[in-house]
Amino acid sequence: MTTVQTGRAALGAPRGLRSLAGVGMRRRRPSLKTLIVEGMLFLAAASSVAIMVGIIWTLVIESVHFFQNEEVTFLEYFTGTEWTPMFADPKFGVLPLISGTLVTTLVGLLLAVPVGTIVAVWLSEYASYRAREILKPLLELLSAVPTVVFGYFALLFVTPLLQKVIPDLPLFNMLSAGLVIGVMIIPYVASLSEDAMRAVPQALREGSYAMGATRMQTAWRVIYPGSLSGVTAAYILAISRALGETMVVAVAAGSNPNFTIDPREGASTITAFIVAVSLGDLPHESIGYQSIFAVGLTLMVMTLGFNIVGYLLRRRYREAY
Amino acid sequence: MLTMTEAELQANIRKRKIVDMAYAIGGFALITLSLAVLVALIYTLFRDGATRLGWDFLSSFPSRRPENAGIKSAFVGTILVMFVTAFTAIPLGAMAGIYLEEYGKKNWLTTIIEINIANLAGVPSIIWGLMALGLFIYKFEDWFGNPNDLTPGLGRSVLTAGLTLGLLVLPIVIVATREAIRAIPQGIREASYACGATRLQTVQSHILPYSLSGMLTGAIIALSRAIGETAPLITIGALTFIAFLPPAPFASKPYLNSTAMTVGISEDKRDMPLSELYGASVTDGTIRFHIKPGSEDDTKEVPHHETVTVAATDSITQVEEKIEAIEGLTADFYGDLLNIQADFGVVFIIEEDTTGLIAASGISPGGGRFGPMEWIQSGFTVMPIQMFNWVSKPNPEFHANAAAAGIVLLIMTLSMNGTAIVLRSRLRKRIQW
Repeated sequence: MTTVQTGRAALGAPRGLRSLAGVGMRRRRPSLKTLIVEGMLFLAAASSVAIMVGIIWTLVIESVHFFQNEEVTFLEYFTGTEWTPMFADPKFGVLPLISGTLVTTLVGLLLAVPVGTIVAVWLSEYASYRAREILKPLLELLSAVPTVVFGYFALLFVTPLLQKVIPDLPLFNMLSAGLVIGVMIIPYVASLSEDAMRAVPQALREGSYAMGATRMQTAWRVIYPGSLSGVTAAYILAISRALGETMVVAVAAGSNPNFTIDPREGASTITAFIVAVSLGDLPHESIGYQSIFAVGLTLMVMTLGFNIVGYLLRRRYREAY
Repeated sequence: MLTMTEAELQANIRKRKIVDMAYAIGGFALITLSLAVLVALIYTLFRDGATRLGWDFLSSFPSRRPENAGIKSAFVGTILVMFVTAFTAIPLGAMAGIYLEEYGKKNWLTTIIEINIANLAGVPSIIWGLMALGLFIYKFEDWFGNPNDLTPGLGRSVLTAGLTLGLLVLPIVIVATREAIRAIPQGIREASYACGATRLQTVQSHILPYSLSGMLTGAIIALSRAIGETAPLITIGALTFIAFLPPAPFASKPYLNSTAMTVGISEDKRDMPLSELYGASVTDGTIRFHIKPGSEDDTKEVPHHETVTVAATDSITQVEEKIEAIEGLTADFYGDLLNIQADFGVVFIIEEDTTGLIAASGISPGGGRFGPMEWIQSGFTVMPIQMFNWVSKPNPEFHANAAAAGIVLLIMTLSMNGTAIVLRSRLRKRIQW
């Protein structure tokens, strides 16, 4: 559109110009096209709210239906240690699924948090510019690998490898799945933590060096505490990823709900249970169908809980530079 | 006050330097080790799957026999789903990003939208699948479905899958768009306003073109994430065994492909009994169809059932004839496929098969409801689901197929990410405001 529009010239211009325009030019109403296009832009932005409402509404409504069933009670759901919704005599205690989810997440974090942090410190404080420009994108490629490929890797590479160390390790176990989840989230921890560490002002670094500190002392006593807010955000993202990870556990961790904290055993997680149920042909409005929404809501609340804790921690550690 | 002799000080410095050096080496070793995992992963895939890779693998449908199986339907399915995903995520994300950067005032509404987008990015992918299942498939059916229609609502279709993945990656596109727009200096906008342009004109002729390559990078990253997503598509019921392609645009008739059990059927086998062709896995039994005939005023036609009785001693030709006895259907064995076509307007589903003849079927509503876009309503499978299906089988020969599918998938995602990385660094160098 290159037509000359004298009368409208001032429309949409910064405030100072508008008042000036009021002297010589009359302000016109925006054209229909402008209104439509701008309305569409707003609707696109607002659609994200509608999506969130859609997600929460779907989870909540089906969960309500689930708890309306006579066989299900709140008390059993949150304290029961058996989860067999598909059996003739169904049991609805969600704890085995939660234990599976937490154990795989914990194994993953025990690998990813130390390794990711050390790598982030190295990239931020030790690596030369060239090394960082090459290694960081390469590391990020690791997070581009589809999760089902990681699942294959866990089942057919990591598990056989672990079985050489722990001979009686079953084929499906949480250890292997958790370790692979850990590898998967190393890039998130490393990349985001490194961004936070690099945002620490150079003056703090130089001050530390001037006091005779080595790079390592500077990194761990000045940079790491100084970037803790951003680093915490990275850890929280890693926890969210690990909690919601599906394909690795569905392939490699087994599909039997198992109330245990021993990572060497196989156990189903919340996500793996949803996958297992979805693979079968489940009648709509059956109790099994509703159960996947109830455990989905449980997962969502867990993720949200960790995010809120993370938000509070970040506020506590925030440094204003 | 801490006091040290010079010798102690020297020793202290030496010690600290050694620890520092050790950390430098250790850190590098760890990052190398992390990258070694990537190498090990690629090695594992090639170790198991390299022998399966080839044109046959790419151009064959899945099969009960691992050595015949391929990823044709999964590959086409992935492309089609990505098409819908791109058409959902890119326009919506770009528009939302433009609104938030150029129009959004600092008020509670904008704040809510911004917080919301950040939260959407953290929703586990399987939750998106539950949303699609509960909302797109079942609730939409309740609200908009027509009881006479066999596939009301969005169904378990390419459309549902693409839409779900499109919304899942929407936050990625929005964030990339906003970053690209934010990189444009304020001076450009002011210059445009000074020339008398409206805000929309400024967006059209300056903001959009300058941020386009940044948006493109974001879109590629988003699609590469969507390509690898498996969990949400399993929840919405992507088929794990599917041996047909969705209807091509401008196909003359609505049709349905069902997979008969996989045996290449050459002409000389057409009159062999099924039991000889397929062995004991095909038995006497029935195939039941649910049919809705078409007519000028097709809401008045009542859906009904037709049953075909098949004996193990029947030949392929006889099965074809029996199916064709049903008004409105024609059947044809073509290679592995039992291809059943319906007359225009006729819609049908295979409800039950007790013979074991039909291994999987894809439902296409026919009737040309979507015209050249008919494929959008088709059942589908995608690469990661095909891979998951194969890796879940105990038979190691299927694991080889899974590995080969993994290689193809990995090549797709890594090359997309590589492109995005190169594009981004090029961009950073080129633009100097």
